[in-house]
Amino acid sequence: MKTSEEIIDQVLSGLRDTQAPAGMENRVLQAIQDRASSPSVWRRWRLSRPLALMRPMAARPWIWGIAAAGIVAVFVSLAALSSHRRDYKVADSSKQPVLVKPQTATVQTATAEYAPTSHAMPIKRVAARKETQKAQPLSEEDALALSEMRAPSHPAPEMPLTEQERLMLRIVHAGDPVELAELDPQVRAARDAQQKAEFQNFFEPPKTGDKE
Amino acid sequence: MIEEYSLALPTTQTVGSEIDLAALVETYSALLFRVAHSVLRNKAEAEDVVQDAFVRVIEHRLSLPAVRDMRVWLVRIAWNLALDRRRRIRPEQMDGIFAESLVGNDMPADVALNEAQRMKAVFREIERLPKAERQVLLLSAVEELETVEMAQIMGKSESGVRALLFRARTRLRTRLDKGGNA
Repeated sequence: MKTSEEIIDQVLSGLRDTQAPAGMENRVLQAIQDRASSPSVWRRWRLSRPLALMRPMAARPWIWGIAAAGIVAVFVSLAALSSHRRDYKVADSSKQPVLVKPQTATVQTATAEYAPTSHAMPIKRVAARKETQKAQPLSEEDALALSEMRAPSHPAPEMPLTEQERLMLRIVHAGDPVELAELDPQVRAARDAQQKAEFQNFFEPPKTGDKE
Repeated sequence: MIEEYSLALPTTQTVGSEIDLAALVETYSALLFRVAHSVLRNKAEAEDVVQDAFVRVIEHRLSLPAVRDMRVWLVRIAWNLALDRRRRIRPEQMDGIFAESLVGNDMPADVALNEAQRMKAVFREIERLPKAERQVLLLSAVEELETVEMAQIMGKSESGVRALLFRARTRLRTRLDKGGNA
């Protein structure tokens, strides 16, 4: 059984005696040469590549025309797309006022409502669309349904009180000052004393010096 | 020191100094391999580190004339590269393989297995040592480096390196004894 010191020495000597794999030097040199030559290849590619790309375009001038037309087409389509998106947003935001307002709203009211928002053109377009809607006749049922649908909502009315609740209210809120005063013990005691005194005075007449 | 290795390789020629990379590789690759292997305990990884170290030589060829000690400079490069690579790999399994390779073939299987287990325990305890102690111990294992060279590589004083080495050995022995050599 080896001691710990011997095992440590054995491990460290194993690290010391490790031999490099065969042919490592050649592989390292080869890798270094490949690595060293790669930047020059990259530099050559970097310099020659743009020129190689430009050469056919220089030989054929009509390619420039096609490229310019393509760029113009892209810009035009982008502009049209952005305009379409803006119209769509305005129409979408104007849906709610149309629903809340009564059907008889005119072009002028709508325009006056949105005049400060600097979107005059799209708003006119929406108002014109509303005019076309108004031109179509509505049946009475549809008009009633529409008016009910557009009517502002209110909270439900309070439920009526039951008979017992009404009786209880009458008892609680009678407001009799005598009853209220009786709740005070001092007042009640004073009143009891007064009643007692009155009773005494009634049944027992005051003792005077009169002798019959 | 550089003049001693002033040779010619077309891609590494610089104004005023010519570095022969082939001679550098021939002279130092084995040492760099052992240094890297002491950290990584894997031959393929250590060879990659040697390659990377010489690639650094090419990249810094303009500053080579300012290098005073090429040997220490290269070992320090390989050492740092190996430490960096070690952070990315998990060498525990490699320790097991390397420990088994250290056990002699002329002993019974059970004894060989026990020996390999104890060596793996040594590697495990080495990894548990404080960083400076572990590094000094591994560098000293190469045994081709003087104390002053180890001090230059680690950026410490010679006495500091000696103290670290002593503490590393003592701590390692104590821990192994306490762990029942398991």
